[in-house]
Amino acid sequence: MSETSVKEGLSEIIDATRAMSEGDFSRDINTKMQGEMGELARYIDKTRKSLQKLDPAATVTANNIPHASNQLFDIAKATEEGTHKVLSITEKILDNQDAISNMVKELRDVATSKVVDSSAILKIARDVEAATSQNKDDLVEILTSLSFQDLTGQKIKKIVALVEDVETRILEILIAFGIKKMDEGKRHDMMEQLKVADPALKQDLVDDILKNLGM
Amino acid sequence: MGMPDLKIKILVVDDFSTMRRIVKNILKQLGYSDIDEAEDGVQALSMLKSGKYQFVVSDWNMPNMTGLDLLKAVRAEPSIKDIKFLMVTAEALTENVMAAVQAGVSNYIVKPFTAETLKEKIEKIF
Repeated sequence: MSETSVKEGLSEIIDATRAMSEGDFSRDINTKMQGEMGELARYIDKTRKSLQKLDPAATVTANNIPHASNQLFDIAKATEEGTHKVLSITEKILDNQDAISNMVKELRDVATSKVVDSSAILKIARDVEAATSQNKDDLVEILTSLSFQDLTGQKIKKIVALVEDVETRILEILIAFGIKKMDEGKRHDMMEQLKVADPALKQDLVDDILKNLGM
Repeated sequence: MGMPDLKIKILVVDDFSTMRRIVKNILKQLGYSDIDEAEDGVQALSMLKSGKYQFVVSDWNMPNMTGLDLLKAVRAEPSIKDIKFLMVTAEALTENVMAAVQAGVSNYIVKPFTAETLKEKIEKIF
């Protein structure tokens, strides 16, 4: 190869690599050169093309990530508030249940007394009706309050789609740069087991891990 | 306007099983007992084509066929085009409501909703 063509070749590679370092992946590199220069040119051009493909896709994905964090925060908040709402209503119902229990005791007392007071019995009947009616309304309110699961579930679906997208992008980058995954042996196996474990079994697995760590 | 016949056959359409269960339970509390479920628009449409249903309560965001597309399909099918259709959805944007109205929706409820709201909207439809 002549000195000029080596210089030109190098010059082209340097220009293209400089552009890449500034985020511009559009500059073609002459890959027809011979020898080591040609190999260098081809390798850099391959990397350039991979990065060029990644760039717009990665930008879109990256733009969605802060949005996803906000959504996750909203979901945590919504499930907490939803649960508190249901708990409050449940507490009300439990109190009413106790009140009804007491009314029934009172009813028994009135019914077993020497002189049966019908008006007292009627009053207790009305009180029980009112309390059970209130409980019914409260139970229906629990039904509607539980709809928070649907709203948070839909948001979660969208975030799952985003996370899968991010995983794909990362995989593309790993492939583009030919980075190999490290093998983690027993730790990796245990991580996999934890992922698929039944929640009831997870404690056993955790205890096992703790034991292995000497606890 | 008024109280609909409590014996009507209703189809509840939503991809979230919890939501279908909630809507079904509230309808039961309101006195309706003949209620079926579908988990997406495609399944719903084939069930509706049997001609047995008088009322559809549907979500908007569903896989395979959205609530809006289901509505359009129902209104385009001569044998079932007059079925009462209530959209129950988290989508509260103006253009969504307008699109639904243009497609012939009978009424529109935004999630989360109360049992009272559902009752009022149903009474307005029938």
